[in-house]
Amino acid sequence: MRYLTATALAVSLSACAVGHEMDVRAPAGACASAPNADVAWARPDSEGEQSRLDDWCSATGEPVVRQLASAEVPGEILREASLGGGPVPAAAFLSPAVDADAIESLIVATWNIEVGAGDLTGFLEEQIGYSCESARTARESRIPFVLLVQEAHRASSEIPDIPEGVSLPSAIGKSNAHDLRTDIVEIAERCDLSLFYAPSMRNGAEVEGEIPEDRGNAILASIPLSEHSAVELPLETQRRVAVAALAHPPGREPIRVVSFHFDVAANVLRVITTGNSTRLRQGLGLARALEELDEGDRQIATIIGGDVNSWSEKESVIRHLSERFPESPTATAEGTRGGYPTDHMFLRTFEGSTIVLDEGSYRVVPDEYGSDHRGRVLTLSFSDG
Amino acid sequence: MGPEPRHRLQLLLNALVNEMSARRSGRIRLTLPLIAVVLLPAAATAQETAGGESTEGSTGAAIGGAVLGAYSGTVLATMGSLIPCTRTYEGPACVRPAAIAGGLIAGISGASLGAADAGRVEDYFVAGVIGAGVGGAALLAVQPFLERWSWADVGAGALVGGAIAASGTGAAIGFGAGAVIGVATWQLVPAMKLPDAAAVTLFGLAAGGIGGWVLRALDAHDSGNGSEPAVLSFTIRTN
Repeated sequence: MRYLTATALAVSLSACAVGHEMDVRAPAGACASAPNADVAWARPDSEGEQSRLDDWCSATGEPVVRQLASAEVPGEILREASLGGGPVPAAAFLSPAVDADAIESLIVATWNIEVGAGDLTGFLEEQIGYSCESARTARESRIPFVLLVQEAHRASSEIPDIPEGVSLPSAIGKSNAHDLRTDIVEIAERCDLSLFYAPSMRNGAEVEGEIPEDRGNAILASIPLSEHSAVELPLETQRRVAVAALAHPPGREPIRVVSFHFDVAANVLRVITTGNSTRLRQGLGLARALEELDEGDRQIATIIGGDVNSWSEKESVIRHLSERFPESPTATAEGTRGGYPTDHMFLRTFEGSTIVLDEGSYRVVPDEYGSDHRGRVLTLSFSDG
Repeated sequence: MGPEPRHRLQLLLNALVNEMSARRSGRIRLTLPLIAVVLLPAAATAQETAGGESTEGSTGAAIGGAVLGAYSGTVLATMGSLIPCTRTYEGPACVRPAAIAGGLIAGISGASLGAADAGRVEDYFVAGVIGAGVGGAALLAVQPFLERWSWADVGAGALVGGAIAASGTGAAIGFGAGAVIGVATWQLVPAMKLPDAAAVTLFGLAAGGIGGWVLRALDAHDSGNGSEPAVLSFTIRTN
């Protein structure tokens, strides 16, 4: 009998299947299971995972899609450009503030802003050269940018009550010392930026007298965004939703931009029985979902950036993503959270694409701007083809 | 001298039942310190007696030793390879062969031990059960500090605790040596970070534990063949 117990323990170790099949569905909305035409959803195939993801989702509000006012493009033209993978003609922009001839490059940055602790307006002004104060006036000389944001938050009374029995993560960022805590929707409006935000989870329990909050990934851009997709990553510890959209630099080919955030670690049993596959499984799930979004003849260059939560630049998930995104900048060991290289960006173009990574432009921002992470920035150039 | 190991096991079960009742009724948990007090000496006693109860080997003990060794070696090798493998392209696929190799080495050693000395396999099994209790209790104790917690975590603590305790002093020595080397290199080599020190420590734990299985199998056979255990002799010169 005693030996049988030991046998059972040994046999239990052999169960360590790891899968990352994704099921792309469109359209859907607040959660993958609740229809809304603005956002397409991708999620893991497993019904058990889907059910638990829906539980997490039930305590969050709806995704937010916002188009910037000062570089508006008629929706029909944007849709055509998205489907064909071609450029939006500069003449199609309704606002004369956008100077299409000046668009020779695109800045892409990624930054974990620690749920409102990071000073976004300061970051935009000093690292990107974008002043929110003059957002609606002096646009001509600016290089367009896309900022991939992790741990963005949204405070809203429209976030639903917490359903019975749903487990909640602890709140992050509510106790930071400065007064700059501004939610992502307010920032997008104040700075007149395109926004796609999809919450991953509630930001802590309800507190009497406080507006409810949720948190997740977002894309902020000074150019129009279309084809918004939310990807529920394979569930390891917390629900993680990567956000993807097509960004349209005027007169240039569109590029898919993706913001993601992987789990730090699974529980002890899962770490042992899967060989610590948490981040690899989520990374492969994301890559697979993005491949399915571009099935068919359409070719779209893609840049993904986010918080990998890696301890080393040599981690298997970084190696696999670098393989799937072959034009990626070399992952560096430079710390973005303390001494750890947690944040990375990956790039994939295609034969005939005009998008090229500017050699030497990939850098770590020297300041945290109040967050616990430092951002990464790179520049993409458009060749004449 | 405390109660016999098997009696201590009964005390452990009682304490765990009390703990679960306390959790259901929301009472403050006072049984955890009791578990630690009862289990730690029990584990020590079981280890102490492991070398003393030499009996004949048997087929049943060889099978039991193989299973116990395979379990212990698999878990230890998994833990030892987790961090290094996370830094390879293969990732989890690299952990699997390491776990299989660790299970095979310790399993064969356990079988060999059981074939030579059934009593020692029994004692290491008791030590493993007690270690599982300690591991599970440890995960219960840290529950207030974890954001997400489940009974699966307690099971994982038991799984790891059992594997370590069943492997005996080898795991402890390996863990200690790994920790010293890991922390020293972390402090001395600028490129090393805390996870690197943790990796060396866990590798030491695994290597020591699996090595312990091999050494005790060799020792049991040497004892069975009538050879004396190796003793270092010293001569103190006073002139």
